[in-house]
Amino acid sequence: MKNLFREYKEGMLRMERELGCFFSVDELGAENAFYQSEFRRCNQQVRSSVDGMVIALKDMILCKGLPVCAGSRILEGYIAPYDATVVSRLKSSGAIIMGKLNQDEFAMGSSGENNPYKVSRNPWGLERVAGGSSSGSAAAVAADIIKGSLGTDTGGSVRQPASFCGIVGFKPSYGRVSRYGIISYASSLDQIGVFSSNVKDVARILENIAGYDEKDLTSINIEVPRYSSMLGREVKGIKVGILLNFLPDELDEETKRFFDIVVLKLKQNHVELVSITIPYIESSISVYYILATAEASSNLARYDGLRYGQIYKTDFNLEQVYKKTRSAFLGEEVKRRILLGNYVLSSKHYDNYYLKAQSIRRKIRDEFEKAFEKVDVIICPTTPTKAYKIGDKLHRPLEMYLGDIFTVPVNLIGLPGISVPIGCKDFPIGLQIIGKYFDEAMVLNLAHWVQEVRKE
Amino acid sequence: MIDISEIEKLFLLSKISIGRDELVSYSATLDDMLEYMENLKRIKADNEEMVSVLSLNEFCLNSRNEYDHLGDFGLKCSKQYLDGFIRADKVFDHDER
Repeated sequence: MKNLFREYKEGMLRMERELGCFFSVDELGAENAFYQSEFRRCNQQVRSSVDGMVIALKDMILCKGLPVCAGSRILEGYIAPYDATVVSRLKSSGAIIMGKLNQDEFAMGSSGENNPYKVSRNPWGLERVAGGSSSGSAAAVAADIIKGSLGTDTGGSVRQPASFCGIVGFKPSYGRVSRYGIISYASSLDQIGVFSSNVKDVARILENIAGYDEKDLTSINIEVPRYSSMLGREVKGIKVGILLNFLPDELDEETKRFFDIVVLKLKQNHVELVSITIPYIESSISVYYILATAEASSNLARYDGLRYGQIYKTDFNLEQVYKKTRSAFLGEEVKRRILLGNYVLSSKHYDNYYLKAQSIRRKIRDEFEKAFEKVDVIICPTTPTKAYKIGDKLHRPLEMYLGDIFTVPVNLIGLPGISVPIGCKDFPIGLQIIGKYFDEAMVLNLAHWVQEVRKE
Repeated sequence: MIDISEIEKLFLLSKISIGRDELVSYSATLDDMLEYMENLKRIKADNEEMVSVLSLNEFCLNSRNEYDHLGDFGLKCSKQYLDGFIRADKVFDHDER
């Protein structure tokens, strides 16, 4: 037993040198947790469905005693003083927390390249991005280094890397999982997400972390079902919506082909397919980048070098300390988004951008509600393309933003959404399933069905 | 085309300093992004529904209306925050400071 963990750790570190998934590994903590879990197993005292599961956390999530830097130099050296609620719950459930995973700086990115330290590589092709911003979380699961991981999803940062890496990535409804102890990017959009190679493990992790938390004002006080026991139900008779006005011209040929195969399989299994349109959905990217950057400019104002993390030591006045610290230690993409956020919030532009974006957000929400009167779930591809080469889009931010077109609307309204792999020619392709508020069970069940059918 | 001096002002408000070359580069990128977002301006508010914004109270079933200072890492908020998802004080007098 002693050797089992050590062999696992050696294998893991060997792969890690190729992939660059981890920021930090808690070898001692994980080894202790492993022995304790094994002891419980031998004494039939298993605590939960994730007892003994090796899990790691995106570096936006605080785990007491471990370094946390959100992929940014400005928080380098900062040690988390407390556990996030999701971490306390995982520890109580007996999960083994292996360490902290690589990401885009402050979760701002869609490739994993916006990072001053290293780029996590896609296990399907080391010259390709793992996706972002939860790049390490997806790559580590895809390489089978760990069984599950937690990421954060603000505009698709769990679903998109899951699609790129050929694994399952699930973003629950806003408020389903506590955000206490999660470094904020955009507070009305952020949500913890779960990665694993299969839907059953995603369900197991979710049922152990979800639920009301009095320390998170926005968490919802409704019962958490036992999601893992609700899988395998019949899909015949459910109504699946396909967005007619949501298949852009840039859609990859192979993505389209695999999507059509899934649609055919659904028809063959007597699932009712309903065409729906959501007129304002094409504005989602603009709405998202206005609201997310506005919130980010506020949330990141706290990084001034005085409270935590790095400080640029200077003999000048306080103002200079703030400026020099933030200038030196924040990355280019972060500065870009802070800039845009301040622009859209400035009094001259507030009405035209921020207020307009909020009202269109309401319209998109209303239209999704109308669509969900006719259907149970909505499906679409997770991303318009497969994983691209590292460096391809790094200096073309707008092009990178447009890659979020399918995932962003889900965050704007706070719906649950999952990406499940549906095929692979050279590189994996994911299907996104979007459900109604707090109908995670329906989304997980259909995703489980899709995974089983694709195995055939 | 966004003015370089406006970008400079925004960086000052954000407490960030950058050089002239970087300013030009950020200005170009911001221009592209703002041009893309122009599509929102074309959506007209022709009825009351377009005027009202999505508030956190509608978004979350559990939202409280009273002031609630949580004091933890990412969740400090006020009533205005609950209503507008953002600190209103930052919005209204942001560029008059």
